[in-house]
Amino acid sequence: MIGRLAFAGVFALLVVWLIVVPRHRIGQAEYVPPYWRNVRVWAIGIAAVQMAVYLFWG
Amino acid sequence: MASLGSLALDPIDAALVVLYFVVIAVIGLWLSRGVKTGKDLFLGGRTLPWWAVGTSLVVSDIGAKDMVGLADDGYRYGMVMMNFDFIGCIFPVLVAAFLFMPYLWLAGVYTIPEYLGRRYNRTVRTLFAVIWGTSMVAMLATIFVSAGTMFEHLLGWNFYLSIGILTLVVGAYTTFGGLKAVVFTDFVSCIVLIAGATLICIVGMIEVGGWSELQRRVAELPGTEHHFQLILPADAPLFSWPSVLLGLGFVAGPAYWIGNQAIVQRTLGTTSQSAARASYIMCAAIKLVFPILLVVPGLIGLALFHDRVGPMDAADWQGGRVLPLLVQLLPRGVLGIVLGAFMAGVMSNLDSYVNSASTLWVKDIYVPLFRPRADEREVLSVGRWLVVVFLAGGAAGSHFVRQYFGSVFEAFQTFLSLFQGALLALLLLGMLFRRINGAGGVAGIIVGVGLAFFLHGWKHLGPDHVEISYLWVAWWSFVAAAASTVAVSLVTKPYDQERLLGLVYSLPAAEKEPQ
Repeated sequence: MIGRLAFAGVFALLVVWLIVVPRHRIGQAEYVPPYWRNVRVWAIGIAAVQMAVYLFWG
Repeated sequence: MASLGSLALDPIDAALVVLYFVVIAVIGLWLSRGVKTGKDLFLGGRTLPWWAVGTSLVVSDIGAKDMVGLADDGYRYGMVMMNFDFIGCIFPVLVAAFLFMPYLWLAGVYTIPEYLGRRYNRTVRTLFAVIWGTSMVAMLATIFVSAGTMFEHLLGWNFYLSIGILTLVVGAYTTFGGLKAVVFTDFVSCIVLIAGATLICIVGMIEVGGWSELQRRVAELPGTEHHFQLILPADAPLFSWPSVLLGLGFVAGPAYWIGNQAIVQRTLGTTSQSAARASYIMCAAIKLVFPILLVVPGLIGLALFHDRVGPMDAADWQGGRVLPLLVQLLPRGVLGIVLGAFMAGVMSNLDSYVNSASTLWVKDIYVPLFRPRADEREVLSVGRWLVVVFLAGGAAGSHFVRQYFGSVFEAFQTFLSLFQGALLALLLLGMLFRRINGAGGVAGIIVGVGLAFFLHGWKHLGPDHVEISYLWVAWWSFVAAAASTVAVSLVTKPYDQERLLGLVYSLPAAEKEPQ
């Protein structure tokens, strides 16, 4: 159980970091693309899926 | 090694395999028309689209060695092997996409050692170039072994003849087409590889009788209590969760995806830093499903062929036997696609590593140390000759890898673990902290790589032949390299801030197109 939480926790922290990282740090200072073309949104989605995989199937 | 017999290829299967070879060769040679400078050869002229680079990243990592090696390891260890693509890939790829890639792309470098040379000093650059360049030739040998073994078991072809044919085909388009040919042929290979791996899973699962039946059959075998767990207990001898999290997730994975020249080079060839970032995200998305397609066949093989392959914990285990048996289940026509997928995996791995090894030796060793005034024509010519030399060296080295390593995947990971810890320590510390300097970097390499060699040697020289997992080797090598880098940097003179502009996270450079 500790291992499962540790792995899911790593991805949870990654999701938090991806949410709070400033726009100018990811090349979106002047223009934010629509969500379906936004790499930040895609990255958050992928990390969330990984968190779920470790939480439920770890 | 037990003979598994060989398949007589149906004309349709043979035609599909030949068609694949022809398509790849035509694409590769057609793209060679525009290669006129070293930048064209090594970075595709910085014109590569993100979607092609994203798929190329996947097949540069997952190739024939993984199809063969992960089927073996899925058979022996089960689902825990998926961690190599989950925590060991997706986590570092997402971090690299937002934290590291923009700096490397904006720096306009060709290689990771070139970045380290600017951040630290020439000694660090040369040391890592020699280590990586040599290791890449060793890795080429492991890729050749997985290919030769598969051809030998499946088609009854001679091991060395198979390797010779591969060397000629890959050598032709990689020598002339450079990175652009590599990336676009990888795009085709990725599609074929996914199709082939999916077909093996579907046919195997039908043969077993579904997922529940697979679980039931595997559970009946001795020593399989953890085969359907992603996370193993902390006291497991191999792949315990602390070793996977620390060694793989925090060191080996990030070092591979941030510091591996064969991986990073193609993103440096993209059109913009946004494209570089998007290519990494695409790679991570594909990696959500790929490990399932590669490890589940091993479990299917365990359920179906346990009597023929033997116990998974055998001391004299010899790799490369599970996948050939699974492939024999495939109907005519489908077999051709899967063989094409296997060749796609072999060729995409080979072309990536040989192109990157050539780039390293030319840009970090030949030009700076021997020919600083070499013109573009000379760089192009030397780069092409080195492709030929390294392919020949890898083919020759395959004989030794075959003799001394049970699993090609293990061989690959063992080579990487020797210097991954030190490389990651230098990249992380160098990008995040201004206080780190060249003297610290040299100390980090010597201590980190030295410790990794010592720990690998200890299992042969130490008392009772203690087995140390390569994941722990990577972790402790990272810790030792990081500690010595920090310690030596703190007692030596810091660099001026101006020298570090654009090389450290807190000192960003203006975002302009690199030349």
